[in-house]
Amino acid sequence: MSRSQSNNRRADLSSPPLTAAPRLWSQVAAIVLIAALLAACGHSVKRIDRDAEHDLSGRWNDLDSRLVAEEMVADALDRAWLRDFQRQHGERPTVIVGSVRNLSHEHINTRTFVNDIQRELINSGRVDFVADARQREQIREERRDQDLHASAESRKAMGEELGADFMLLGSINSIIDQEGRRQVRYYQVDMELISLADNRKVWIGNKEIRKLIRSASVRP
Amino acid sequence: MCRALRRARSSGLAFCLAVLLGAALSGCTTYGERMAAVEAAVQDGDPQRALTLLDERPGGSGDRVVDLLNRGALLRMAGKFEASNQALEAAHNAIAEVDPLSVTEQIGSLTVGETAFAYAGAPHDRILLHLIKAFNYLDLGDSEAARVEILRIDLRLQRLADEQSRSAYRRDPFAHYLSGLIFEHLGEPDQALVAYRLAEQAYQEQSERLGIVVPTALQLDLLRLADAFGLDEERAQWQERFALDDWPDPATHRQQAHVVVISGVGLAPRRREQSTAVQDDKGRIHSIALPYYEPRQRAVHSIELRGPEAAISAEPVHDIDAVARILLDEQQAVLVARALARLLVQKELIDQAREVNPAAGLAMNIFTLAADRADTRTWGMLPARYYMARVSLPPGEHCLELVYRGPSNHTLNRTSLGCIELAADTYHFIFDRWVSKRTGSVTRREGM
Repeated sequence: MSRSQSNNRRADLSSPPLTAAPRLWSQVAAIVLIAALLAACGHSVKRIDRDAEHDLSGRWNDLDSRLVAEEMVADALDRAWLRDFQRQHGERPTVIVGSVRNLSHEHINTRTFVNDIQRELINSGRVDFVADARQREQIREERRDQDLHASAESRKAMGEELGADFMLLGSINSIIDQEGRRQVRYYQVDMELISLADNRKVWIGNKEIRKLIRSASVRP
Repeated sequence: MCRALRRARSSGLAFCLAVLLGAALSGCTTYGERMAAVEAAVQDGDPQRALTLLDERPGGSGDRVVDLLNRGALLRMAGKFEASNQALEAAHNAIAEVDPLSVTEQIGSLTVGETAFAYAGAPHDRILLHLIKAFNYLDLGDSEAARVEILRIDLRLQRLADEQSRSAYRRDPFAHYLSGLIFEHLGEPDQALVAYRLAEQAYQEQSERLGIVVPTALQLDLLRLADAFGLDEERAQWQERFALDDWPDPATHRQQAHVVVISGVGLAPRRREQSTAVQDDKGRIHSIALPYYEPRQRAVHSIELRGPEAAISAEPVHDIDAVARILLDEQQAVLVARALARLLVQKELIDQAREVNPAAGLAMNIFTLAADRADTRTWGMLPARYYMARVSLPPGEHCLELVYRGPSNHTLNRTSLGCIELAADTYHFIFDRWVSKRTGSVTRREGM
């Protein structure tokens, strides 16, 4: 290496490398900044209103369950079967909720939906409501226990249960149409009220929900 | 003098940094290496210990999906079906989170390597996830939840056909076949027929590449349902194609009880790394690391389902080993192209670092060499193959066992499936998981 080359090299080292170093360090700084920004998106919890619409995934959620239950019960109580029954028997009909089958593409907790329906029916004050099969077993067990342990005045007798006049049965179905990152989810909830005396279907209700879901194609 | 000292100090610092970085990164193990102890515990027939080992070796955030998938499979082996479903559902949600293209991961993959990508599940993982969940629900006696899983499989299969349109694995015949069986179990033969038709088409399409032919049980199911629905023309076509003259009469079929035995055999292939390093004319060392599947010896060559009166052979219905290898072969061109692009980026980074300081260049070269590892992540706790045995029996109690046989037809293991009370026109699903000759079945059964 010649002296002049050596001097040039020394001059390069003594002065800050103005071309390469800032490029490299600015890239590093940009990556650190991006990482810091991403890290700032932390975990948080906020209480939200029960009626506020927050559809995060597009799947069946608590709001769908509640709105469908409210609308279907309102429709059921507004139909002729209720007036006909009251005219014939002079009293409120007694209803029991049977099973609601989940025939959809996702795991839906049908118990919360059944509970929503029960609540709407009971709160309407226009029908009487009886416990479902599992609850009845628990209550009968309690009566058997009372037979042995409760005082005669407070004891509740067997064979005095109120039999239901109608059973509410239903199903949740879905159809999903997808193309690329777009998806249309269509839910159809069908409910039927069946007379326990003669198997007559006295009311059929149906509620549809359609959702358009667009999935992100890019993330940080 | 001062300047010389400063130079010497900075070169020394950079050298130390390079050595430390190199040492730190050489300590980084690949996923395959991390899973070796977990796999050994499974081979010993102890899925519970395998779970503990998996928990003791947590992967990074990018390994979340593969860790959850392996966890779900191990929990199923340990007989914890609900916990298995929770892990697999978490994996499903995690896949949805990492599915969109990530800008930082794309940049990272060009500098660090393929492991910069979060594992988002291979195409067959995304189907098998729901299939195993369906198995869990059937074991839990929740057929309607199993039905939800097969509907989710159907959605996933539709996407698979779009995303993998040029792949040999653009359909999953076993997923279709199992869907059909669950539909029959739920009393929906019309839906079952649709699924059986799709399964038959997919088996025909893939038989050459995957080596799994249309199972005889599926052929008989198709002929029986074609008869039941009066589809004479279709039945005649199938009869000719399958060269079968005899199949179950639909009325007789309804009077019998049906047993479906599905056995997962072995472990899915292990992904390993093969790397090549070269030095260029400027002294930079570059390496290309690519994954490959290590060959595994197939221990089980046939399975027999035995009852007190008769024995039938189980048929292979899904070859996960073959699917994984084909998918990696199809991906190889993309992996090589990305590795070459990475070489160019790494060369630039080394040169930039060298311009600052030769020792920094060395440090960067060591970093790029140590960081560039092949992606060896895989859902290794899956079986290598699934076999199925279908048998229709008179209602009543039946005691069954599975006999696993090796290449020369010698018995490897026998697994008692217990005595089962069967009712007419019902489907009974029994699952078994055979891991190795030494251990045999790892399935835990109640009361046995």
